[in-house]
Amino acid sequence: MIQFPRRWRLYDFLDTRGRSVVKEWARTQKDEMKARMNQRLDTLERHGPELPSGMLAGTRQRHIDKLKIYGPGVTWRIMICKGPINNEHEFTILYIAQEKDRKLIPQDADRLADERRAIIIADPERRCDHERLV
Amino acid sequence: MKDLSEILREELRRSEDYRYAYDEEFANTRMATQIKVLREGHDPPLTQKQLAEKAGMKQSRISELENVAYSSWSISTLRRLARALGVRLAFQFESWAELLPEVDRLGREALERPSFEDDPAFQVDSSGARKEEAIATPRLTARDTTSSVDVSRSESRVTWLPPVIEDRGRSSTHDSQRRLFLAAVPATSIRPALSQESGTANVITQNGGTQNVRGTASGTR
Repeated sequence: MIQFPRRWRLYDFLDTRGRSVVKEWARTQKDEMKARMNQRLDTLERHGPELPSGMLAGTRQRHIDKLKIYGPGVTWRIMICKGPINNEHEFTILYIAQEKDRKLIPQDADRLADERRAIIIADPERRCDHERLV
Repeated sequence: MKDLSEILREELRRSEDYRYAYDEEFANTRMATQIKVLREGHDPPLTQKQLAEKAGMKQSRISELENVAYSSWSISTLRRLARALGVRLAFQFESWAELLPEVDRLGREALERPSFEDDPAFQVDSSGARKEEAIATPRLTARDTTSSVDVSRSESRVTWLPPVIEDRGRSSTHDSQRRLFLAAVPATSIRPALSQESGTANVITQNGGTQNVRGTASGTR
């Protein structure tokens, strides 16, 4: 666990096998993408959405925001929500989608993320503390 | 429990790709955030539209530059922004060690800069005299006169807790108290010295011992 003056705590959604969706995604990523993801999440953890502009962008789903991360030849959209257990101090990473030609892949990634948010509200055990990507 | 600097110290050794990507992402975040902080901290605060007008750009361009996802910085654009905000643009190569405290300090206060008009170093009163002297860092020397512990032979890393150094005969606010922090300084750099004006400080050796020594301020003006 990181020790620094942070306001926000990050969680990862757990799939039906109990695996973190972020860790599963990271298994296929190179160091460069892991570094970009770690840096962006470090900033989110310390400052939340207030100080840096454009850290989070809205989606069609009211409770779902997307974190934009650009990699070589690919744009990732990290679907994220505040809370959903404590909306003042938490973010939960729900789904990791790609974006191509301004379209999400899968196209309903934000809806899928919203469904996962509902799963966590019903069962808070379906998430775990976010761990840095190594 | 590790702090972020410790974690990054390990992570940046992982690979060249990792450290350059982390630094690039951090630099983009910091630059975008600093433009916003400087615009909002300007006297008077500027809207994106007002800053755009001063810099000869469109408002949508300022919005784009303040977005942490932006990465195509050009020096000429940043120079225009610097001029519009009344600050100067500095660009230079840095060591990797500098990144750790920069990441640690990222925040509104660390990003604020006074414009030239508000910079105390350039403010003068009606007679042409500077309103406020730049606060020079006092040279602090120390000697151990109160204990048998020889500071100069302590472990190589010591922490100097800030002594209050009285500067008698000066009455201005800035000069009445001075504080000096020396962290992780080789003990050998604290050399014995003699002075009439002295404060005291606790020196903590690396093995946890505490040593009370005297500190003096000299040569500050």
